[in-house]
Amino acid sequence: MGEEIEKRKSDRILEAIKKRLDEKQTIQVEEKKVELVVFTLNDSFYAFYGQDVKEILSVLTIYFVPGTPKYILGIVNVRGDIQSVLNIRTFLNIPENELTEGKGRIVIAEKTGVRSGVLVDSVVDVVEVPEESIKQAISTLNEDIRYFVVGETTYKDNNVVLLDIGKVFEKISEGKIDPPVEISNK
Amino acid sequence: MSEVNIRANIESDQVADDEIRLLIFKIMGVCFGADMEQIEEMVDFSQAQQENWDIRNFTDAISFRDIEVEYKKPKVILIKDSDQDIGIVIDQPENIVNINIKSIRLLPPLLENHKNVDAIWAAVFVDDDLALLVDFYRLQESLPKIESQALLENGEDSEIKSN
Repeated sequence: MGEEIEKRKSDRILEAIKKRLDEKQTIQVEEKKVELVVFTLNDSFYAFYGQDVKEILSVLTIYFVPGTPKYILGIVNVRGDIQSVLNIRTFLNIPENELTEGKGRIVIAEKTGVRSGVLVDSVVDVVEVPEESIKQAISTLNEDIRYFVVGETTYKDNNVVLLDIGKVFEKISEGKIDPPVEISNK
Repeated sequence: MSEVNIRANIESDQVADDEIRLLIFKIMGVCFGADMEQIEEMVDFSQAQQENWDIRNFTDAISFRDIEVEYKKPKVILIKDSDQDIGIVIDQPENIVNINIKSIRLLPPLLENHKNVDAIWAAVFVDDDLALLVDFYRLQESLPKIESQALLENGEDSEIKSN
């Protein structure tokens, strides 16, 4: 009788352990994480998916190319290869910031076979966040801007707007760029 | 670089099979390279007028956006094998260099998609600077004819402005 009770006890313990393990696995499945490259533009936080970012460079000499639209800042020499550099502010209707020039970072991004640099003020961090922490973008965003926005999350209590660089490349490749609002230069 | 040297280089055939000879010039700090094989000769603006060439402005085909372009020492390039004597106004060339074609870099795809840069077909590093390679034949197709008098409305040969 005592042995039987003991077995039951061991069964109970094993069951409890298995349950805990199952719960842990469930939690791991539920907490699928995504890597984000968090950067700033005019003190606001933005991010690209980490899988779309190939490298982050200190600002190199950006060579202006006449005949190109304003959203192309120019081209840079990346170890002998030439990459374009985009001014993402144009797409997000963010005013120009004089600090960007010479002090920012160039995020080299690639998606759907297109590769380009994007000039940002600073790269703050590369973080993993639970996928479920990415919420739908606020509905008050201009519809043209919202087209480039995947959603929003937080980083150290700061709101972070997650952007889809693929959408930017897509618009440019289609030649359908129509900046939402005229940007006033400082 | 003097005009005499330019002429000497135009007439020279010292270019290897795997090389391209480039005329390097800058406009508003932007460095360009043009294939010497497309150039018949280069003269001062006043001389081009006397020759009655069809003078056109480089920056009319390639927009510098809202930058007011000033030519410091304008020269006129006569394009070789053109049906008419088309002269393109550029700024005083800085150098002539032979470049191995292997060192020529393609423009990024995002730039290639823009019709406005048809005449700019590639880029190459020349002395720590990046030269945009310009095809004068493509350029002339997109250049509007300009009246010489309009260019010289201030009576000046040395400073031509263009938006």
